[in-house]
Amino acid sequence: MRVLLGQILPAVAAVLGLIVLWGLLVRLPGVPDYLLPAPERVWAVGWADRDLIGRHLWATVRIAVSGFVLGSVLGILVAIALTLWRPLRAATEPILIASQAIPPVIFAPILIAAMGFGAWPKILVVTLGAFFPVAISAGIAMREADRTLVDLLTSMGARRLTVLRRVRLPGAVPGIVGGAKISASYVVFSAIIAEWMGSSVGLGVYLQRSQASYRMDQLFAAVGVIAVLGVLLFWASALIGDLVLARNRAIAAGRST
Amino acid sequence: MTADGEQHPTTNEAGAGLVVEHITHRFPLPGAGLFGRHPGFRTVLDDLSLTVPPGSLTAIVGPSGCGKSTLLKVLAGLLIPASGRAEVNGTPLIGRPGGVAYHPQQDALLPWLTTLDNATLGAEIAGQSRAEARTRARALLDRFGLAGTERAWPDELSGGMRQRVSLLRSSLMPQPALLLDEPFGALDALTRRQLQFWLLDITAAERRPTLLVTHDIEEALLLADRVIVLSPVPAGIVHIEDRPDAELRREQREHGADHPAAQRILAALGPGSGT
Repeated sequence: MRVLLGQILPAVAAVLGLIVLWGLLVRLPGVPDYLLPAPERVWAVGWADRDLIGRHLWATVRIAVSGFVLGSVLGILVAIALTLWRPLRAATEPILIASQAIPPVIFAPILIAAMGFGAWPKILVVTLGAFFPVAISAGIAMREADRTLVDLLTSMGARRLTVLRRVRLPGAVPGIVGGAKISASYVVFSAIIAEWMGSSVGLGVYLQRSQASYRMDQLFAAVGVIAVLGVLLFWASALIGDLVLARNRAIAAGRST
Repeated sequence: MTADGEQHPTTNEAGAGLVVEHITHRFPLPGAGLFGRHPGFRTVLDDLSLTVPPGSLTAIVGPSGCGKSTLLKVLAGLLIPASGRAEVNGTPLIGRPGGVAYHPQQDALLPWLTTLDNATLGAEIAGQSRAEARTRARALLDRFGLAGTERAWPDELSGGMRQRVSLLRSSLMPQPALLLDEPFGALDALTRRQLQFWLLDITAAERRPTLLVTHDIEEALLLADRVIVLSPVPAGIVHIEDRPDAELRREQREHGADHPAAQRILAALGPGSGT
């Protein structure tokens, strides 16, 4: 439980400190209540609305997690394809980078118009944002695999696919985990943008309605929920990543030096 | 360059053993970039020819950086030489990896495999069944001083143990020739002696032609039927020391009677190259 003492407690203390600061700030004269509601009011509104927020939250979680899983798998597959076939990499890498320059705000409405208001267009938006960090870091890690080990396998007569399976892929696990952590910190953001652009359910919808009706207290409550969700998703992915790393023994490379 | 009759050391019966003919290798010089007007090259191996008959061991000694390891990489199919030919029992090796059991200088263990899985890796990739390779590996664990480490990860082993796992892996590979790049470097004196005798035994028993790169002249004199001395870069053969059979070599070593041979090799290595 050293994790609890070392990492979680300081984080909780810092957040509580921020909330207290916020509570003091709204008590200053001249800060209008409709712009910056007091933390206790945000809490009260959020708690009163918990059933509704919970329903929206569940929709967002489903989209974010599905998109994350899909994006990570897609990212690894893309990295493998680009590693195995160099011309493909030269041809498609600029396109992949360009796909990241297009903001989801532009992309989401097009997908929604094409695929309807179901979950899939939104999952796709999240996937598109999530696959890229995994593909890039996995690709770099696979291409820059330990030269000695690649040479060894080659000298044994191993084919490219065997070298990939036995050396490049296991060696790339730290890179894949690193990329997945970056992805995990993006997925909630993408999911909410996608919902904002057109949906009937999800925290994005709740945010949009709160904003349209100038309910800053509701808006803040939803923002709080989103912040907590983002952190939890990141922690979960980091935890899974650590477990994979421990299993993969790639962590051993760092321990031996 | 085509290879015609005239071979440097000896001509064995046609196609038997490891035959290396007129290998020349060049590395591009750094700085000769995209628009380099002068294609700069450094010749590392200069027209090297040698033959290792079945069941015999040839040692290569030479100053540091003279291209000994490069020669092994060429024979292992990892580097394509500018010219020359090499084959083992009639099968060409140049540009065709997988033809020889190559033991690199680094122990090159896969960090995500246990001792046993690392040891059987080469045999598995050569198409042998894992079960059979494991049985053979287990039988050798004792002799390699690795008993009880079957399930250890490489980072849990000492440097000497890692080198022994690596050597075990090379010896389990089924290829018809063995190329060893300083396989005993990190070992303590006792294990070193043990594994040197083991190498003598398997060379005699398996009849595989074996090429050994070493820094250690005494090791070369004990293990090799022939010691080849290379010059500094560009490496060419400056001296060939033919040795008596293994039994006599052991005796000579015990009585210090291999001194003259060592003197000749040192002289060939030249002043200031006491590597």
